[in-house]
Amino acid sequence: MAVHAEPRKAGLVGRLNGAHHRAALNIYLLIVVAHWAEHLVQAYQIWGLGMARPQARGVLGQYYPWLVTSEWLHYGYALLMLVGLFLLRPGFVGRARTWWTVSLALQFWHHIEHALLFLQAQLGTMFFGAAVPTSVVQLVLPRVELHLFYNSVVFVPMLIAMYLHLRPNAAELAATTCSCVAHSHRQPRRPATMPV
Amino acid sequence: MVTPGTRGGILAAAAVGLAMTVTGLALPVPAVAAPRMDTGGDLVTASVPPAQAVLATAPTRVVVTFAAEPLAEGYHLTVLDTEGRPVGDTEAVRSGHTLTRDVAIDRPGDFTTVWHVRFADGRELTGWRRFSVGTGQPPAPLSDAQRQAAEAVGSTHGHGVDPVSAVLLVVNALVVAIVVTMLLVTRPPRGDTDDSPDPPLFRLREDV
Repeated sequence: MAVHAEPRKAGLVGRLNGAHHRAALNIYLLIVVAHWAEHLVQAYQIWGLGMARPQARGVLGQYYPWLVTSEWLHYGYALLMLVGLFLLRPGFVGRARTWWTVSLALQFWHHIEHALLFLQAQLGTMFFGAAVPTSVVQLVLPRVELHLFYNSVVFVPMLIAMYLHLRPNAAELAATTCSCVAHSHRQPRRPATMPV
Repeated sequence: MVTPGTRGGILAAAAVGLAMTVTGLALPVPAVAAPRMDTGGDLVTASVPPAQAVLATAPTRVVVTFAAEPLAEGYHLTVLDTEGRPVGDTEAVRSGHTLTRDVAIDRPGDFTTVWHVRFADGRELTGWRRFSVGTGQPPAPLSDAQRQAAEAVGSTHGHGVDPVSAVLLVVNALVVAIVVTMLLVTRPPRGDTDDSPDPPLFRLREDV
């Protein structure tokens, strides 16, 4: 199977997707998992402990309630997720890149939803005739459930992409340029020919 | 077999997730503030009968209109008599921003329209409005017993597990478990054997 590989880029993006791809992915995964843990705790507070939704603020929100109520935090995280998915994408090849791109596309829409909320909060003007900041799909689904859904549909393909990235087939391995896969076994060969 | 770096990343991510979750679950549960209990503020745009109405004849239904649409699974509307007992056994009906409930009032007195609603943005509101029937006088302020009865209407509203969210959480947990297990039990591929194909030429140019 032919696997497309992008030419390696120089600079920060090149290093992030080359020698430092594994470290960058690990840091990114830590942030994602910590964010997920917050949502799991929030879900437990609502459905397990029967707390009212405004009081179900996860872990950090118990100590810093403004974090949960601020659209800055939600938009900032959505933007961070989007930037991470975009910046780290060149390091993926083959099937892993396909799944990573699915996650990127879904997060792009999730980010649009948060941008709408953020815009309304900053302008003080609510859309859709609502009394509070409201996103498009929020017209149909409650906010907590909606963003749990968004986080899920972004998280699952991201995990699949990471797995396939760490367990590539032969063609994908040949096309891989980053540091993630068995780098101790893989010594990049230099061409004997002169560069063009 | 996994490389030390990969194993470290997996274990670190798992450790952070576990620590955050355990910390959250172990936190002392703060006293849960009751939903705001008042006459509705700016979230209630209209009510029939209106607040403090003095009626000669009993209404056959009560209507409360909110600034936002109450969630389908998150509303209560009832009318309590002077003793705090519900009037009638009909169900409230939601239509857009409005809740309506038929009532059967067969005696004079002071009555309290009580609601508890939840909105899509997570806000909850428990409130009331008072009216009198056949007394010729505005309704008296709520007594402590009547207030407790009104607040009980809000407290009877529970939060069931949302099935969609529950399924999503289970699916996520399963995917995490499967991926972590497969990473730990499968061997990463070995590359760059003597018979492996040369990398694409265009990439090698860039490498130089």
